[in-house]
Amino acid sequence: MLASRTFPKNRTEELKYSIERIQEICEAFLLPQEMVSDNLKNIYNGLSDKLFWIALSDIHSITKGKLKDMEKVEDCSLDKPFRT
Amino acid sequence: MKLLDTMTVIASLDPNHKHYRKAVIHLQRLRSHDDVFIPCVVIHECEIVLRKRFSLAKVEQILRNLNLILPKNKIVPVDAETHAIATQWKLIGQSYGGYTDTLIASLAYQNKANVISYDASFRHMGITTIW
Repeated sequence: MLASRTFPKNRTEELKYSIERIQEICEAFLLPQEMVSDNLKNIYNGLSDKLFWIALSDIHSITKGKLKDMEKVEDCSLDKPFRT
Repeated sequence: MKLLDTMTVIASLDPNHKHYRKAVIHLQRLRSHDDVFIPCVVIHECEIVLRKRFSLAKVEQILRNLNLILPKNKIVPVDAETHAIATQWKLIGQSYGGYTDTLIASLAYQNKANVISYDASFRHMGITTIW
């Protein structure tokens, strides 16, 4: 499925795009996990790692300390349904 | 098998949280360690927690980013048996946490797993915790 696609605009989408393309290349050539070269594996792991930190930092820019005092999840039992 | 608790995920979402550093390490292990998983009910509970503190638009943004962090092959579903065990514990007074805590604990019981959490309620339900 290496069809032409619109290249994503933001950095997170760009990384996700790159990771998906690597997965597709491996699948297109029917490469089993153990036959994927170390170089490709390193690129894949590096991109996944970068994506992890970018996504997490994007979340941090939204939460902005508002979860810092949360020690425990308030009970949302069936007896006390949560409000929507 | 090790299961991430909701508070581990929530703590990792805020660098000012007292358990942030450890929580992020555990979140990274979800990607790097074969034996670490996240129950689907944890994502559900995260949404509930986030909805109480943020607008729906922000919750959506957080969840979309979380989707990039949580590997799909590491999300463990709960089944009717998980709910049955949780209900049984509630019936005999062995349920110590909230609704989702009990489901996470019963999922751990089903899979002979430990729970990655600093919450003592899991230990009260006979589940070993790691922190």
